[in-house]
Amino acid sequence: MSAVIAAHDLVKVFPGPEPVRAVDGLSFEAHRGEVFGLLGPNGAGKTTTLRMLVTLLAPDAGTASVAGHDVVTSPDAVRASVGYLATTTGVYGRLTAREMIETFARIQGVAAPGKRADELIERFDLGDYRDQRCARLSTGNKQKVSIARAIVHDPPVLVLDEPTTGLDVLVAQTFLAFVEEMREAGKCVVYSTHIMSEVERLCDRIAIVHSGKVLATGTLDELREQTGEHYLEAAFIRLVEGRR
Amino acid sequence: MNRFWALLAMEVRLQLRQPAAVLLLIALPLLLGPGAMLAGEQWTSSTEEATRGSPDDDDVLRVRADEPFASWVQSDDRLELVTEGEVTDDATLDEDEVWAAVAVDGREVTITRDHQLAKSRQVRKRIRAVVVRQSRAERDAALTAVGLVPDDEIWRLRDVSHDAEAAQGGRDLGKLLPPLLMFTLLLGAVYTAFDVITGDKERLTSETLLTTSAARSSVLAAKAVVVAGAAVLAGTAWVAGVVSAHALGIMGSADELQRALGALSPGTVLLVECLVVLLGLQVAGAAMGVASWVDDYRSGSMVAGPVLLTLLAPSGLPMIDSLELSWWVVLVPVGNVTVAFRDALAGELTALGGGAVLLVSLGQALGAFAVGHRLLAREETFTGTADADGRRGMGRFGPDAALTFVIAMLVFWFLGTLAQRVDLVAGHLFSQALFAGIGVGAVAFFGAPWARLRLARPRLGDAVASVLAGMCTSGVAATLFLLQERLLPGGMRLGEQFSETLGTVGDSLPLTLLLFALVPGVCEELLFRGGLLGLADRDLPPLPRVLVVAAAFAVMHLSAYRLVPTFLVGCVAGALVLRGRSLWCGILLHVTHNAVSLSGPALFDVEERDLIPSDLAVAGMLALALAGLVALVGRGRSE
Repeated sequence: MSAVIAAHDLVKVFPGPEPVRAVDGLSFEAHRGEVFGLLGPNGAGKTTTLRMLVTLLAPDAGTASVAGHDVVTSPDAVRASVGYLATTTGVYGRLTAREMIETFARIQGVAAPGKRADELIERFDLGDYRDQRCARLSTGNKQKVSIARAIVHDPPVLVLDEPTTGLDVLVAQTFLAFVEEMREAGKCVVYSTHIMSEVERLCDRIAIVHSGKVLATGTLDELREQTGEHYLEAAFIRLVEGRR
Repeated sequence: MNRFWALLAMEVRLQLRQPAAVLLLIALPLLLGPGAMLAGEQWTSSTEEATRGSPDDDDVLRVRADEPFASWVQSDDRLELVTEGEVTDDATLDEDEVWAAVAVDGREVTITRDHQLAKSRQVRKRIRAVVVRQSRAERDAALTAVGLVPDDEIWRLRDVSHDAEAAQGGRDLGKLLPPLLMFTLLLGAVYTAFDVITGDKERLTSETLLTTSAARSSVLAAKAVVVAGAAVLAGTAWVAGVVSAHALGIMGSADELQRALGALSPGTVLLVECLVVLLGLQVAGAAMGVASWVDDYRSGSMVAGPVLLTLLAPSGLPMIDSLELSWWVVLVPVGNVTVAFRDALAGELTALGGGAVLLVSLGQALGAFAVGHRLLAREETFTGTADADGRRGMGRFGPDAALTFVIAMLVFWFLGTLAQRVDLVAGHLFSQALFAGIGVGAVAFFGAPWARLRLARPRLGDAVASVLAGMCTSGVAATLFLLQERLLPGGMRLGEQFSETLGTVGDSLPLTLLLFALVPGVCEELLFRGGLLGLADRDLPPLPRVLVVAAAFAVMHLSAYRLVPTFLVGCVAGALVLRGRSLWCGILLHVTHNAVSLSGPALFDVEERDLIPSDLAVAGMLALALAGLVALVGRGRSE
């Protein structure tokens, strides 16, 4: 099966008096109909990696392609194939829920933006809040608007960066169900988190990331076998501490 | 293209959803124009009343002794000097002595001596302020009458025709309007730029936008159009306010204002709108650059003050009457458009001058946009330089130092006015003490270590080099003044004004040096090379830090003529303090510079004269020596 996302030896260095090598030769592949987890502690380089995949940052070395498009040479095509959710909801507080979704449908070049916005409002059960400004929505509803905005152009790839941060348990469960639904629909999902239970529930394959490098890649069972630990948390600690 | 329009529509909608934006871009400019004009009118009227005597005494206008002589003279007064005795050099005048009379439109005017005038040389220079507004024949007759030689070099003054009322009205409008208009344009552009660019960073919506399939150039273009549009909208609302208030007869009783507003024909309004667009584009480009550079509202608000002042300053150029649209004026951003605008309204703008200004200013507007766009397009602008945790962190850009500068500037302006009205020397000392207090207080207020003030004793060699550097800067600055006089006539008047100030403290050179060399050397250095340079330590590399603080130092002197020389002194002082790691290096340089500049003319009877080639050669050698001295300071330090 050909990879939808392929990252090879990615490097990102943030300049400064003491340059930070945030990503240091990181490689992985993710496929269609797969949820690929990036698991690592804070500062591991997960967010920087995702930012390079969605063309917000340019890699200093290495290559990456998304849906067959190179992130450096075809950034517009890469973004057309990706729906990106950052750690914050990133909604415009002065727009209403419907305006937010419809505006981004227009920006993404969707043929019938109004109709698409109505579809997504119904799908995410936002009907009661459609004309309310995003600034006044609850965090859960803001996240729903944000998801609708991210998939408004029906992209084949979803890049999710710690998407359940700040959500209560019920909303988080709804969100996880949505990710599973995306996998069933054949999307390629890259899911970054440091919450073990989410990884265990969602991810088909996992990359353990630490200090900008991939320490291990595989399914949950493969990681268990590799480390000799039954629980993911213990496997994770063993891998990270073995590196120190 | 459709995506660009979608982006533009969203940015516009976001702006319209803010009551503050509507207030700042439309309501405030509409009211600001008439408000500022009315305030100006009020000021003019009260000044006339204060200086021209009682209203029922129509025939005789008396000037109060404590008013600056030239302030009451209107630019269209037909003045003729009538002598009452010969004025000779160095003749000290007694208190309240009447020495001359001036006829104004056939009415007798009696002038009493300003209390700050002690020497006839200074009185003579004040006469010049009057005769500049006469025809050549009247002027020569008046000069001859008071015993002066008409073709003396110092009387080589510009003749002004007083017959063309409309032209004068246009000229007045051209002087009054640009600074007021610039304020509105800056308000519109800076506020909007900070909201659509800095605000996107702070609200973390930038990533949402930049991960869509719209080309990044479309995203940036939509923001640029909104910023430029906001500036032009605010400017247009301002013009609409002035025109409406004039049409409704709300304003316009003071002579100068009446004349100025009388020049507001439909053609003029169209010309004003061209001015709005040209200035708006330049301002928008600059605002975009600044908004891209800072990373949050707080930093932005600190930076906005100095930026506003820097951009506002050239809009005051049309106020300098002697300034014509020369080649170098054409190159000054904002200043070129405003001077050309003044000349156009006075009917004095040539096709060549107008064309050159149009081309250059359009080029500058596009250049400002290109720079702003370039800064906006940087990766860091919207995403930050994420650290290992993926958090933002783009540097602090010296907000504390900027805040200190703005506070000091406001205090200085206030005290400058106060000092002129009350007592020059006391005001000078008070403001200097505040400079020192603000410098030291800022370090304490922001919780910076006291070591930032660099009060450590310098090495002996560094101290000697700093004193020698002060002598060199004095010589180089003197040549710069002479050079400037060719480009911007009138700078030498500064020396005269300064000698008037010194006149109030008598002829004592030691006292003069104490007040105007030692005190500013210590106090100003405590603020600039102490507090400001110290507070900027953590935010900027050494060279930009020295340049930014030197620019603030130059601007603080509030004179276009002193801008370049004081910037030079500021740069050298900053370099010495950083290299020598001691504020005393800056203080020694500053004190020496001021002392040599003050005592040189007094000790050696230096005459005002034109620049000669040997001056340039000497200045060149001094500059080389200066570079050598700066390089010597701090050399051989063990760390």
